[in-house]
Amino acid sequence: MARKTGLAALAGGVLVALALTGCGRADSTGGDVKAGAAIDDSPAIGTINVWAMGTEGELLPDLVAEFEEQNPDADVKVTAVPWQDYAKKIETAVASGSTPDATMIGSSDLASFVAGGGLDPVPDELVDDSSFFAGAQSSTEIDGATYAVPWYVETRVLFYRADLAKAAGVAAPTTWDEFDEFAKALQGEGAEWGFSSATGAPYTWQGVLPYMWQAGAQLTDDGLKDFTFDTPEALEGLERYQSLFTSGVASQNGPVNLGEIEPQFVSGEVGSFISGPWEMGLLTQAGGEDFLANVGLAPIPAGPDANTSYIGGSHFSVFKDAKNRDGAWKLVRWLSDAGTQEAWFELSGDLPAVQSAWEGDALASDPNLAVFGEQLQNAQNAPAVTSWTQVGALVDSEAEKVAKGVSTPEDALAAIQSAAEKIGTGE
Amino acid sequence: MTRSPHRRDRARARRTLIAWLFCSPFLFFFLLFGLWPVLASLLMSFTDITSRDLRTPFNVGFVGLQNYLTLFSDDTFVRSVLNTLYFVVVGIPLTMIVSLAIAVALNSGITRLKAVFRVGYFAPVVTSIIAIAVVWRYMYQDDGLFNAALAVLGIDGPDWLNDPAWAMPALIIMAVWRNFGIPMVIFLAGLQAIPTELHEAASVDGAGKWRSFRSITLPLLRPTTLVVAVLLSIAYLQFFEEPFVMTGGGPLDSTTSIGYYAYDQFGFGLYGIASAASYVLVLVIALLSFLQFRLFRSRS
Repeated sequence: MARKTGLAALAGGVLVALALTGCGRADSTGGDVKAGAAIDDSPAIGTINVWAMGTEGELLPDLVAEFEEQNPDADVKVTAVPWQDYAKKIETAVASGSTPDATMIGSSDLASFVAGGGLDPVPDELVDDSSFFAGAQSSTEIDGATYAVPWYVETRVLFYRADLAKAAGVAAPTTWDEFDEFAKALQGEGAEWGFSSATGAPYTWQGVLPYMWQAGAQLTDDGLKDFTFDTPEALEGLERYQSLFTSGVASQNGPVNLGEIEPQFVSGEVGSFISGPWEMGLLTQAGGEDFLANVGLAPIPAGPDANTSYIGGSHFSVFKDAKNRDGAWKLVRWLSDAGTQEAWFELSGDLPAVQSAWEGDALASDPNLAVFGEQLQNAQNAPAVTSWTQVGALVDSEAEKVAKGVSTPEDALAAIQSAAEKIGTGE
Repeated sequence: MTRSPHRRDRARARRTLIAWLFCSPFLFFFLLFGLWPVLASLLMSFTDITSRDLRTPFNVGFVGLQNYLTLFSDDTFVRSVLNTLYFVVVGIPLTMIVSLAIAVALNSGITRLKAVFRVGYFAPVVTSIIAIAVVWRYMYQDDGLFNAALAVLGIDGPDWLNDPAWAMPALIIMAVWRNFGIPMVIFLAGLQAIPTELHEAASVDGAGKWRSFRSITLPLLRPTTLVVAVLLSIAYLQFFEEPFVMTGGGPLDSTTSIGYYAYDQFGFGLYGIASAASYVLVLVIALLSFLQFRLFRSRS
C-alpha cells in the first residue's frame, strides 16, 4: 500500500511539474494599440448580438427596432444580463473566446475589462469625441486608446427636503460653508441628520473623491502612470469628508444597501443626500407621487476649486472576437446619434451622453433635469486605470476609518497612497 | 474448481473492464468538471495570473509560494482568518447545542403537532438569504426589534450591525437560527436509534433524566455528533452569504471572512491570490475535519 501511495504521489508531482513548466510569461512587447479598420457608411447586415443589463436590457429591443428599419438586412438580438452577474459573464466570454458582438459596460468597470484584452478599440472617425460630455469621454480613454463609446450618463446632485428648507428660510447652498449652515438649518427644523453619506459600503469612493476634486486635487499624474493621492488638495477634500461627521451633520453609520436612504428621507430623519437620477423613481416609490413636491434638487456645493461631481453611466464596447464587428460598430454609432439619444431618453429616462441631445424638447423642459444637465458640465469619473477596482475598494475602507473616527485624514491618505503605489496603475 | 487459473484471470479482467465502462460516463464528467477545475485553481495559486491573462492563461509566471506569503502579510487576510475562526469556534457549538436540545424536545416531549414543529424549525434553512437579510437588518437596527426586547429587560442593546464588536455576534445568532434545522434532523435520527430499554434500565437503577442523558444518550450519539460537527464546520468555514448581504464585510472589516476576502480578490482580477486564499480555506477545513474525527472517535 505504501508503495502504491508513494507512486501516486510521485506521478502527481511529475504532472504538476510538467504543467507548471508549460507556463511562463512571454516578454510582452507592449506596443501602442492600433484601432481596427474604419467603418464605412453602408447599411449594417447580419445578426448583431448585444448584451445589456438591468432595465436597459429590457428596453433596448424597443429602441433597436428603429435601427432594424433603417438597416433591413440587420437583425439585432438583445440579451438581458443581470447587473450582478455581468462582470463574470464578460470575463468568461472573453476567456472562452465566444463573445457576443457588442456589450453595454458600466463606465467605472471599463478599465478592468480592457485589462483582459477582449475589447476592440474604437475605429477612428466613428464618432465625434467632442460631442460627449468630457467626463464621459475621458473614462473611455485607457492606455492611450479609446475602448468604448459613451451611451448614457448619470451624475450626482444634491437632493434636499425643500419643505424643511423653506420652513428654515434657507436656499440651496452653493459652497461648502453655505452647505454647513444649510444642513444645520435642516436639523433645526426637525431632521435628525442634515445630510447622509456612505461610510464604507462598496462605492463609497464615489462620494469621497468629489470632495478631493472640489478642492482641486488631481489623483494621478498626467500620463496616468502614478497615483498622486498625497497632495494638500486631496487632504483638504478628505478633511472636508471627515468634517461632515465630526460636526454632527451626518451619521457615522451610513447606508449599506440600495433603498435604505429613501425611507429615511421621506420620514424627515435625513434632510439631504447626494445621489443620481434614479432617486426620482425610488423616492416616488418610498413616498408617493405627492412627496416629490417636497424634493428639491441643486448642483452640489463648490469647494475651493470647483463643484465637481461624479459622472457615471454606461458605454458600449465591441469585442475583439465579435463575429459581426462591422454591424456592431454601426449599431454603436447609431446609438450615439443625437436623435437616437433623445429617443432613448424618452423610452428609459437615462440621461443622454451626447450634449446636443439636451437641447431637444424632451430634456429642455424639465427643471429637475436642468440641474443634472448643469452638473454634467462639471463632473469627473475615477482615474481610467485598470487597477481602479482595487484602489477604489482601498479608498472605501480608509474612508470608513475616517468617518468612524478610527483614523485621521492624514494617516488615511498616507495609507491610500502607499497601498495605491504598491498596486500601481497597471500602465 | 474446474476452471484453470488462466481463464479465471481473464474472466476477472473482463469484469473489471465492464465495470470501468459503466463508470466511465460519470468519471468523464467528474474529471472534466470536478477534478480539472480543482487542479487548475490549485495550479493558478502558484502563479501570478490576473485578469489581464484571460485570453492567454498559460502565459503566466510561476511564483511558487509567493501568493501564500503575500496573503499572510496582508492585514485584511489575517483579520479574515481570525473572523472566520471566531465564527466557527462560537457558532458550531452553539448550533449543535441548540439543535440537540430541540431534537431531544421533539423526540420525547412533544407528541402532538410533531410535523408542524419539524417544518417550522426547518423553514429557516430553505428560505432565501436575501429575504432573511432584509428582515434581520431591520430587526438589528438600533431602534429595532432586538433592542426593544432587550429594553424590556432593562438592557441597553448595542447598534448591532454598526458596532465592530457586536456585528459578528449578530451574524452568529442569525446563522444559528438559520442552520439549526439540518443538524436537528440528523440528531433526531441518531436519538431514535438509541434503544429505549437502556433508558428504562437506567431509570430503574434510579438515574435521573439528566444523568441518563449524560451517560447514555451523549456517548451513543458520538457518531451522529461527528457527522454534524464535520458538516457544520465545512459549511461555517465557508461563511460568505451573511457578511455579503448584511454588512458588506464591515464594519471596519470585522465580519470579513476568508470566503469574502477571496470573492473581493476575484473581483479585483487577482486570480492567483484569490485561489491561494481559497486553498488556505481548504487546508483549514481539512485540518478541522481531521481534528474532529480524532475528537469524536467512538471508543468501542
